[in-house]
Amino acid sequence: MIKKGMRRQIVLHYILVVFVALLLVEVIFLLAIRTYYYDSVYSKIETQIGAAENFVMYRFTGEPSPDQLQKLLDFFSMTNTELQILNVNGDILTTSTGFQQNGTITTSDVPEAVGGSIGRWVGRQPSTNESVMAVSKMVQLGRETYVMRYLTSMEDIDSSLLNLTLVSIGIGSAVMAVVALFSIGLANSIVKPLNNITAVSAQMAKGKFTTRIKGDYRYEIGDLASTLNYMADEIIRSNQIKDEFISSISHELRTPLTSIKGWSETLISGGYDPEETKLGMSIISRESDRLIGLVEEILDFAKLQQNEMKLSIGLVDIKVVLQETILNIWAKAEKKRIRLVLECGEPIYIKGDPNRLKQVFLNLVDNAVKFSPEDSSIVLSAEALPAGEAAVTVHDSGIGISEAHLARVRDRFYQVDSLNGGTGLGLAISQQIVELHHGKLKMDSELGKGTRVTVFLPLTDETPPAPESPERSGNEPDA
Amino acid sequence: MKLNKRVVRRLAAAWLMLGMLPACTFISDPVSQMKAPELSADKASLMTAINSWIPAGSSLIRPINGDNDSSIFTDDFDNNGRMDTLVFYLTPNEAVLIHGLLLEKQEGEWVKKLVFDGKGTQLDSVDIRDVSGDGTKNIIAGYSRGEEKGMVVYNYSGGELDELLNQPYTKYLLDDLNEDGIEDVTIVYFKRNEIATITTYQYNEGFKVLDSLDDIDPYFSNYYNIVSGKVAKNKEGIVLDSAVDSRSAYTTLVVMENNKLRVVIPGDARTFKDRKIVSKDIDNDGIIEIGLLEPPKGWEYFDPETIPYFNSYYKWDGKDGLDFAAKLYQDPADRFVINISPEWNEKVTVDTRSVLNESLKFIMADTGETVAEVSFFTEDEWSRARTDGWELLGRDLDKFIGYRGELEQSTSGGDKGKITAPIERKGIDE
Repeated sequence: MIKKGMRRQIVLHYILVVFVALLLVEVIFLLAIRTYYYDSVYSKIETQIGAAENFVMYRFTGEPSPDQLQKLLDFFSMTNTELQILNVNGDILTTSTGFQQNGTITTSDVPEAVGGSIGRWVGRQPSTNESVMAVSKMVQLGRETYVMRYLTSMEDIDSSLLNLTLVSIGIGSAVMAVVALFSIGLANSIVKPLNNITAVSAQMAKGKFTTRIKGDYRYEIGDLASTLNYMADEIIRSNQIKDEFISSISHELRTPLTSIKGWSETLISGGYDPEETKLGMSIISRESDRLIGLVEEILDFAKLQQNEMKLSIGLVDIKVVLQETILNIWAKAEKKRIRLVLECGEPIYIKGDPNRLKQVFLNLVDNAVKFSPEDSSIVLSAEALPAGEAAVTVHDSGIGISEAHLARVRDRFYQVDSLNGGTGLGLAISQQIVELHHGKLKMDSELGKGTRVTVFLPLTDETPPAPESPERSGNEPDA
Repeated sequence: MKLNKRVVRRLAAAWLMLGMLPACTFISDPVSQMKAPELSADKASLMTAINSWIPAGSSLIRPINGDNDSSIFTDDFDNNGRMDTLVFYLTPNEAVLIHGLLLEKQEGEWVKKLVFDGKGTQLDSVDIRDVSGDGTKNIIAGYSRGEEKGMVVYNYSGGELDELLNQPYTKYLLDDLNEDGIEDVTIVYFKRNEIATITTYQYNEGFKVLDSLDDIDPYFSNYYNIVSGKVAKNKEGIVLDSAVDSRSAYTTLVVMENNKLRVVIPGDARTFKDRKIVSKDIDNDGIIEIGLLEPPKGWEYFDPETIPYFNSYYKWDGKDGLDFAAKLYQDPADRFVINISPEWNEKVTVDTRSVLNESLKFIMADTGETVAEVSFFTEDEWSRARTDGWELLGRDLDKFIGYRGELEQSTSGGDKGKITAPIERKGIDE
């Protein structure tokens, strides 16, 4: 027997469906045959009655003769049947067997015949337990009414019906056997690829991500196989990204640490003038800040990942946030002689965490500065869109990002060029902060011409308390 | 996979079709498989025994007249506690055509006892009755050869068959006419224009003539009905209906008094009728009535051919008169009968506008009110008439006979118009 599983399931289902279909067909077939057999016998007798009746009608006219019953027997009698002549009460008057027969027939065909139709009854003779069909018809002869009742044995017909039943059961079983064979084949065609895929995915689970599902499978199983293969590819790729992250983060950590260690050892050895000591200490301090920044970035990211970042929401004027951002990055931009331009009219208020928003813009502007050539300018603009959104754009004319990279720059740990330093987390964190503010981050870029990053944030209807900004009252008529 | 499934299905279908094809050859003609039902075990064994004893080519025959028309008579004829069976069979190519075969059941087996020769060419009647008064049953067989008929009374005992009586006859009657408790045999013998006798035989160590009537006028056509039975309270008698010609008839009543046969109602004008009415016990009182023809009131001077006669039945009053018993209307061609209840006997008549075989209207003699109608319809008319309240009373080859109304005074004045309508329509048809 097939062991438990899908193969058995399929085979059983298949067999069940075919069995039910066959059963229906055979039952209908056998019923039809039975009806045909019985109706043939019935109509044969019916024809005989009709013919005899017509004859008798012309033959028996006028006075009743004493041998009327005998003549009726002669006219109506039919080979292979027993003819009984009854009165309307069902009492036997005479029969073609020649025996004296007394008694009353109580089967349903007699009342049917007396009712005017042709009565038909199939059942067993009480005396012989033989299966018989009785067909009765009332015959009017002058003023006398008789019931002509034909009896014929159905034994031969029943036995040939039984033969037919056996034959059709045999055919049915043969069909079932063939179906079983085919369904095993069918089940194998489904189960074998599944088993193969299961084995390969077990290998993958053990860490062998280089194994691939081979074989040309079609339809759903083919989809499953390619999905699994794709999954393995992705696992390999994300492992690679992680490895790159670790190496780059190690590098990032080591650079300030080297500087700190060098200066601190230099300072410990002593003998330096206060100017030099101050320089060394400021370098150590700056490098420590850089380390702290790095670690914070990683911590932020971890918080975002675990959904633990808490925003302290308040009413925020984007213009103010952008101004602070420019102030913070001014020094860095100045080094490359990059101009930072703020294009913003009246204040734009949104609900948000000002520090986190500033972090987003700092990151965006910092990136812009990082990839912009010297003597270029970076435009920060903010405007309220009619759709109830504020759009903040950071537009540089830097090296740009190719289309292939553009789709992935927002991924964690992804760096277009890992030599540039950084964790590859900045954009990922920015994106998540914007999403926490129910906003969107959109990037357009063209290689060599610059990048435009737009942050969409939902506007709020709330207005700040009146005394906070005196210049607002002056701006309002322009709005 | 889908393809696979389809292939499997197609193959299964093809296999099924192939399987059905040989099955078709199994579907034989059911009519050819019909067979007569088996007889019950005892009958079957008797039938086997009979068939083994009668010669090949012969067939069992049945009496063409008489009450018992089966071909196998089973009874304990010789009163020895074992069942006997008598059959008659016909051997077409032998000098003696009819033979009787007697079998006895011995320990479950049917054993041939004897074969005897019958007479004539046809078996007319068979009766199994004790007419010798000895407790054993006699076989009374009537044979015929053309018009001639002869009857034989057999006695079967001790495995032997004796002929007790052998007489030509027209009709034999088994009855106890002299009321001595022993059945006697009365033989009516008639030869047109030659002889008409009634002879009663009583068994007394052989059949002896008890009395005989041989002065009966033989100048009539034939006896169309002879019955014996009670003709008055406590009196057995014989009623003989004689046909004068193809239409008219008269009736004679004979009784036995002091072992002498006596004609109490002679066949004269009093019992003469223009139609062959069968005398019988019409009112189921156990006494045989004599039927007479009576024209309805108002029809006395019409052509007898057109009169819708009533049948009136009379019973013998015990002396030499007749008492009225019942009245009915019988169709001349015997297609239907309308009974008239006793309280209406005198009151109902037939409307003189009625026409035989077309329409009859039964009315009250005093008020002229219609109580029932009989009308003859063609098939087309009948389909219309049946919705008009007509009931099918009978039919012949081309006519439907409809009946409407009750022989009760239930038809109200309003219905009258409706009742007459179809009759008038028939008038238009003519």
